[in-house]
Formats: sequence, structure tokens, C-alpha cells
Amino acid sequence: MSQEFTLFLDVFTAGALSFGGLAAVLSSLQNSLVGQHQLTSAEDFSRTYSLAVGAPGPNAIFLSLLGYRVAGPRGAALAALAWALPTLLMLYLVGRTGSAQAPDWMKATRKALVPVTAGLLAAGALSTARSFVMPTPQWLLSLTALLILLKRPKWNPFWVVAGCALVGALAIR
Amino acid sequence: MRVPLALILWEYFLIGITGFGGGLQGRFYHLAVSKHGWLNDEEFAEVNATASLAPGGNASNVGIEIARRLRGVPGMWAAYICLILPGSLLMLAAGATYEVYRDEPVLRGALQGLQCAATALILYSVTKLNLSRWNGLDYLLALGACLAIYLLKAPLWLVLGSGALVGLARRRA
Repeated sequence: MSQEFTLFLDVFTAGALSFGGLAAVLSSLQNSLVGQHQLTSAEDFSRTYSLAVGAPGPNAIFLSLLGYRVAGPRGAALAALAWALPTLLMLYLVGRTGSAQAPDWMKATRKALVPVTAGLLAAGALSTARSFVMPTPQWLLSLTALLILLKRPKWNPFWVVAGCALVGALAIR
Repeated sequence: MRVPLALILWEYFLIGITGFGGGLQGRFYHLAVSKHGWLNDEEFAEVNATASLAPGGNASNVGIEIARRLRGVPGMWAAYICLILPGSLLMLAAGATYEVYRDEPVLRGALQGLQCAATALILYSVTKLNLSRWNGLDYLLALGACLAIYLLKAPLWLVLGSGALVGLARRRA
């Protein structure tokens, strides 16, 4: 199976199951793209995700960046397409009739999945933290940033991101 | 009222180039309700409900669903592409620059700092899931999902499927 097809399939599958957003499938994407199919290294994977966090726009940018690392411009386009297809299809189907007409089992399942989503997000956080070069100080920095986000919800998260990058540039070696 | 596709392209491009992380949802409300009056509050709430039923990031789903209401399927693709293209191009350029200076300790440190920010932002999204109303079983489900994906590297469909079954069964009970 060609690399590009594997990339498309892995991203499409993750996209179709991404209830809770990209971060909720991050760990599973790492399992398939890095562990199972070795399309990229673990270091590259988390570095690309942090670049996407530093970028303007939604986190889905991560997929075009990662696709580019794997297979150049075509890879970028393929990954972005694979990620969008399931979302756009579902939005089209649900949106056309209105969410009130959506079947009850769909809404019930979505609600029932909230704790699982939380667990998946936690796994995503562990994935981004996996390649910390100075684990203890970097976890401290992460938790400090989390505390600021919680205590100052009105502040633009951009400043927290920029602050972390600055601290990193000055102190993390 | 037929909203020109060019206007959607332009407005979403602006959000794509200036929107960071958590603030996106507010930007779409401003765009569609306050600025252009494309939707009223009730319609925006319906957009939110639809967006939360589909996979994918919630904020970008809101944007794509608004575009679907305005201009159907072409609107959806226009919205998605405009949201991810500016940041992707910017970060591809940044990535290329990084390759040139990858041995600069300051740059490596900044990227490690960004990884801390990414970790913090993911943990922050966990705190928005109504944790205060959880009971013991919810926490157990979350822990199970996290370990299954992160340590056991179980396939995502299996984790989501069994999580949904457990969640639905106890609602019934």
C-alpha cells in the first residue's frame, strides 16, 4: 500500500471518529501514523502539532503540515481532504434537516461519550508531553499555563502560547 | 438573501489568518450574528447544536455549518480551505526556516515551550466538560479510555464503541 494511501486512510479514520476534536484523536493518530505505519517519527509528530498550536486558525492545520512532512504538497492536500470529508459529510446530513430531527440514539451516544472524550483528550496531552526534553520543568510550565487559562478565561490564549514559547526559548535546552 | 461566495472567502480568510485557538467560536458569532446579521441568536444556537453532533473541532464546525447555511456545499469547502490555508502556508514557511536553523538552541527551546502550551491547551479543554457533575463511573470510563489508547494502543473505534455501549447501558439502567 502506498504511503499516500495509508496517510489518507489513517487521517480519514481519525477524522470520522474525532468527536471532541483533533486533540481527542491525537494519541490514536500517533499510534497509527508513527507506531503502526512509521510515516513519521514521534519527535516530528509532536513538533508538528506544537507548530500548529502556534499557528493562526483551527488546529486542523496540523494535518496539512503533517501530510507535507510525509509526502510533500500532495500529502498536505490529501491529509487536509481526508480530515475534512467525514466532518463535512456529517454537517451536511445533520445540518440539512436540522439537529432537532437527528435521531435520538445519535444525541444519546454523543452525550454518553463525554467521559470517554475526556480520557482521550488526556491521552492527547500525554502524547504532546511525550517528547519533552526536560520533563519536570516542562510539566511545571504546562501546569502553570493551565492555571493561567483557568484563572484568566478572558485573556486571549494566544498570550499563554506566546509566553510558553518565550520561556522555552530562554530556558529550555 | 444570497451571500456572495467571495465575501465568505474573504471573511473566513481573515479569521484563518488572525484567529487563535480558543477564541474562534466567538469570532464566528461576531461574524454571522453581530456583523452581517446572517443569522439570529436562535439560528446560531441551532448551528452550535449541529456542529456538536458532527466529528471534528467544534469551533471550525460552527464556521463550516454557517457557510453551509449561506451557500451550501461550495460554501462549506470555501470555509474549510480559507480557515486552514493561511496558517498552513505560514507554518510551512516557518517549518522550512526551522530546518535551516534547527541547531539553534533558542529555536529548539521555543518549540519545546510550544509543546508545553499545546499540553496545557488540551488539558484546559478537558476542564470544560462539566467535570463537577461526574460520578465515579464517569472517571473510571475516562481513565479506561486514556489508558487503552495511550498505553495499550487500542484502536480508536474499539475504545469509542465500548465507551458508547457502557455509557448508553447505564443511562437505560
